[in-house]
Amino acid sequence: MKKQCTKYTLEEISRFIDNELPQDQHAALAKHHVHCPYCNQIVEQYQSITDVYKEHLNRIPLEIDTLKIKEKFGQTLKNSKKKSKGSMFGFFGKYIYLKLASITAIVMIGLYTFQGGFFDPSGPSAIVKSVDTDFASVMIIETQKEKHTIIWFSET
Amino acid sequence: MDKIKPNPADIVNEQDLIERLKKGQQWAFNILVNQYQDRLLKIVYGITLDREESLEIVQDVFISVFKNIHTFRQDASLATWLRKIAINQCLNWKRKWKKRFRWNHVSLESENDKTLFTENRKTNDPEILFREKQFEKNLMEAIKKLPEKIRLVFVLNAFEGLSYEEIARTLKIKKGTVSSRLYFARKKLSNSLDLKN
Repeated sequence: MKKQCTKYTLEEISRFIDNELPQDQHAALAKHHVHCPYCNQIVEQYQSITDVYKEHLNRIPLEIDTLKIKEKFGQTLKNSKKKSKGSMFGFFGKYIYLKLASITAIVMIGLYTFQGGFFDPSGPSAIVKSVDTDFASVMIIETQKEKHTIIWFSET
Repeated sequence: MDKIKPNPADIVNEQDLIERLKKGQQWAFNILVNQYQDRLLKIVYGITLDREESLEIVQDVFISVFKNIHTFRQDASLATWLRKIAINQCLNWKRKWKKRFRWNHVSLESENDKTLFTENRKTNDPEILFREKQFEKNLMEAIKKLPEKIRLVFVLNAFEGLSYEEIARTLKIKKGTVSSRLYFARKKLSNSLDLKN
């Protein structure tokens, strides 16, 4: 090691090689180290550390297994498609019986309202009332002739 | 899976690639992998200094990108986002290993193959070659001994060429901390090399 120079700290020299010193300080150190064997040695050493390290990384033969990654991509893609499919058909996925019962009830009430009676007078029954909730569906049906009441209940 | 695969040359810019990635086009991911794997592998290797670990981590990075591309808000470039994910994966990976109380040491020379030291040489002088090789070997051994947080800053500075400001933003630390970590790294490495040579 050459005769020690105390004009600049090692941290300042480190910042100098990274161009992180204020412009005037950078210029002054640039001028100084050319004539100062100690500072010049530090500058060169710091620079060679970066250069050799960078070179080392650039020479490393690294390549990922693209087949493996494609496989994982495919799997993830499949899962996400399944998920989106699930949400697309979500209407029929959960509470299917309740939903079907609700649809039936709505259709029947609609027909009853608009046609002045869904069932033929000789038909077996008519819906008196239907209630649909998130958890269950209830329909009160009355037979035409005998006026018997049938309560239909469905729970999910 | 896409039936019509456009020519990769048709992807003219990053924006286009991002949009295709967000649509889940798998071939766009192939382009992403081809474009960024080399750079990411080197950053990750620079941090972990372990070949197998680096390959696994970068694979995980791409899978993570594939799953989370819809969350990419484009505040920064795609490369910056990928680098951030890679750094986080590296740190998480290390934590996982620490939790399992496992430590594996692989000799740098054996893992990197003899080819590392024989390519791109400017001189044929065996003595100079030997000294260069020795310097590189000692340097890499010394880098391996640096604390990970120091090495991380060093990689981003030396390999990625990031400014102190950019490193500080990436790692969410102060600019002054970046400066002192780099100084510490260089001082430590210089001392190790002085002792060995």
